[in-house]
Amino acid sequence: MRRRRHPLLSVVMIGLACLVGLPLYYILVNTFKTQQEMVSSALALPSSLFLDNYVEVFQRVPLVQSFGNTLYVTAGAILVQLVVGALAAYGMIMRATTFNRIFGTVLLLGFIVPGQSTLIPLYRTLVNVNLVDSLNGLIVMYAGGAIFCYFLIQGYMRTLPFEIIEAARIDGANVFQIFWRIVLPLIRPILVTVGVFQTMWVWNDFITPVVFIGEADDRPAGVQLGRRVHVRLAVLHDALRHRTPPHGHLLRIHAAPHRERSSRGEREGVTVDGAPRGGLDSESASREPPAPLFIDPVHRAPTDPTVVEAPDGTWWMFYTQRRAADRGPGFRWVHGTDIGVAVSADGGLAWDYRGVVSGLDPEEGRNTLWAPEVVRADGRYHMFASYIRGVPTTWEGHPRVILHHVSDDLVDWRFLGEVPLSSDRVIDACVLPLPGGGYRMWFKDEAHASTTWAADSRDLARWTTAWQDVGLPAHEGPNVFVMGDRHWMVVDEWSGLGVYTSPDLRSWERDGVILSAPGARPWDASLGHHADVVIGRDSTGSEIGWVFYFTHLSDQEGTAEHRVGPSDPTGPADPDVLDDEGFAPAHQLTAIQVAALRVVDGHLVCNRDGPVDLDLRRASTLTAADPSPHSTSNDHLGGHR
Amino acid sequence: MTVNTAVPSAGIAQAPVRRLRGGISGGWRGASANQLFLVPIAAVFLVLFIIPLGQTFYWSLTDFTGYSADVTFVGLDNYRVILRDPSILAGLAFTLLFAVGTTALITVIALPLAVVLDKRFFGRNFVRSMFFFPAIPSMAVLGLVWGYILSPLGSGVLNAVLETLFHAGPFPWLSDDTLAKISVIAVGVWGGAGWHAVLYLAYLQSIPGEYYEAATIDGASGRQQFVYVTLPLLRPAIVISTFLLMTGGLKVFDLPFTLTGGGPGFATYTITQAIITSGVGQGRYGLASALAVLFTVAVAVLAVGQLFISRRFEEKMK
Repeated sequence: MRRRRHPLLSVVMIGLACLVGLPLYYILVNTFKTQQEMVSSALALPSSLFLDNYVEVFQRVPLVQSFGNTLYVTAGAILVQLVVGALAAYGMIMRATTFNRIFGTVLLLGFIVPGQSTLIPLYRTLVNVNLVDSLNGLIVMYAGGAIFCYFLIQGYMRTLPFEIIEAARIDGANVFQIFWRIVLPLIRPILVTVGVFQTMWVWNDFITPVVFIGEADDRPAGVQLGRRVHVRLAVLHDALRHRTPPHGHLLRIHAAPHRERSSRGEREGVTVDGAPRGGLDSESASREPPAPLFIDPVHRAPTDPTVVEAPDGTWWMFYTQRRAADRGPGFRWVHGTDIGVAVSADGGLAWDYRGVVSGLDPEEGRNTLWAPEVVRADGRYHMFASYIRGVPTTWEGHPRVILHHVSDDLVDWRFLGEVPLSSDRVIDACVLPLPGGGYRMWFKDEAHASTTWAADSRDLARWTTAWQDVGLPAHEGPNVFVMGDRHWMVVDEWSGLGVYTSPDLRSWERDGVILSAPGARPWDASLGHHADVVIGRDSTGSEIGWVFYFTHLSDQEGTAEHRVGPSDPTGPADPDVLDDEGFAPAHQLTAIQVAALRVVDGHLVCNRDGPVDLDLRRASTLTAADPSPHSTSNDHLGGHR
Repeated sequence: MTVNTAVPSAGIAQAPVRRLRGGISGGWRGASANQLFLVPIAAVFLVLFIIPLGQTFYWSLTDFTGYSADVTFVGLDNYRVILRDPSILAGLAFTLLFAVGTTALITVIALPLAVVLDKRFFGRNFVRSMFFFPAIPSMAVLGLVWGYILSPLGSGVLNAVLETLFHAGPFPWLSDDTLAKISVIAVGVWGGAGWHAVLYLAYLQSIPGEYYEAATIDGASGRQQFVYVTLPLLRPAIVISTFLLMTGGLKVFDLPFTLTGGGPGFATYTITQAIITSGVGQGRYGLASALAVLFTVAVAVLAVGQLFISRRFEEKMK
């Protein structure tokens, strides 16, 4: 009965096997497809034999070295494990004393202890003996596998015919000779078995090389993984190795701090002396900010501003430091960006460039940081910045995630990790405290048609599953604020800022568009983009919103006709952004602007040419003790202060 | 197959086939030479397990940050923090769910699968290799691949297939709490079932065919043969397989790390990931160490408890 062939069984089992093997098929066929084809028809056979993936792997990953390293480590580790394991098994079998039996039981601990429990002390020990970043160090780490080998080998040894050993002993062989000449040949089958077991483990091990081998190129092949995992991996690696020194200077100053020429606030005679926080400027006859408000002095293209109050009462602006002078290819100028910082001590009229925030990058090399959001919660600052690995030259096709950093002083940032959200195409975080406690993050999910998604958190660390909060039309850069006891959201629709409003944060209602018509101020004749809003009081005490947005000097893509020359009245053109003929790419030059927002008849109104009456020292303060509804709504602004 | 046929004789949990009592009495010199063989493993054990564990335990009682030399003794504070931290508790819950879930499901699937793979049918070798294949690449790589397949977007492979076939979805395989947990466990089962079936297969092949012939003559049905002949004889294999599954499941790291990164939220967060991200990553070595200590104790208790129960069970059945 058992020997009969079962045709039906064949059909069922082959069907099942194909199902189980489907991922293998998926891996194989997709290595021969372009990215587009892989997405559009994942399971189809490749339409043509596309070998570039293999070419790219060979060019980008030092495969030969990687495999060589893996081979060396695996061979060394298996040898050590087998020798140590076999010796121990032999010693234990030969003399089953009480001590040995207890020792054998204690060794069981080696099975049970999770590697993560000993990882940190072992890392420190290996640093002390200079075995980190060394393949031999890895072999030492893997020697722990000897205990597993020991258990399997001694189990097998017990089945050996003991008479042979006895005979050899009588013939005068000593214990070493017995081991070498008699036992070792006899246990060859189990050595092979254990060797294969352990080879599979060492070859595929993930965490040890990540932690103990710093340079990615030296890592064994198993660790050369895709980019999506790379950020998470970097988090892990960073966590264990590259801890920020406690007293490092974290603001890299690119240029000596100097007053930007955009900071024309001085002509109004405003003193920049770090006025004490909350000191209302009663003599502020004119609180009109310059236009443009701020231009990054190094790279000439600040975008995506967020404004927050520092512990000392000054206001800090964090922004994406695009690089106008970068000549490409493609969109390289918007990548490879740092987060720039400008500081204002006079309530927002004059801004000093203070360099870029360092220590944000979760991994080594030149990478891309975008669209910072900085909020204050429980006495600490939290930054949620978008992150793309490397310096791509196209907008699309690269995973992007939102990173979480914390700081006590806005200078010294510590990396906490990647925020797990709805996809690996998320950017542009905006975080606001919720009326009932906790926080909500809105962000742009490019994998979901570039719409705004949201997730909640009680502590800014643990986030709920994200949901779509605002759908099409596509947009980016959501920013939420409370004004007139309602929540408002502005989103960058690339044709002005779309406005939504919500009484309860459950659903959003379309309100209109602002900053779509050209303004009259310098650098303000183009569309307003990706904004941050701070709510405060104007000089008469009425509620006002200050919207910080960015503009391109020209909305036209930078063709030869749309460059600005030295004689242009709006005339930027510092030497470092000029091409050989003395022109600058107008589309790539950006500036930060500020305008006033008011709620009129229940609608959000922005007159970009009107008075701004800007004094961030009049921004709504946290008055949590005040139970009046108005103050309560202002409480929500804690996130933007 | 050599890989697995030798497994039965490797007695982790099994009673040794023929235990050598007393060994050879070779006098004092022989004894010391024999003890010498134990020195390397003792050194490995001391350096790679005992000393680091001791350090971990010591740090668990301090506020060690990983770089500051200023270390204060804080008693059991770290342990208190852990037992109140919702993310760590979530990690603990999912780790347990994963360990128990994969152990149970893989055992239930692998046993009958092994019986089927033991029968002769056309394409048996192909079927065996297909089921064994997930055990070969690293779980990290497989997690990555499954990440594309289970992508919650409409463009995810599974969602695209469901859309084409049934016009259903897209389903949030990895972005919904419950579905993400199920997905991670399902991929874990997919990755382990074949391997453990092959392990059972090795034991099955050592069961003499006469047992089944006798059972057939006595009129036992296929199901009765499985329950009264196969299962009892596979007991040692079940003990080993479940022990490996349980300890491996509790220590799981690569799969959830690459598949979901612990998300959404902390739905598929594991203890091992918590040790690194909630502890070390945030400069809380003391906390990470306390977590590691608790985790070691928990794994030890569960593993030893499981072994104990299996042994008792085995003895009872004899």
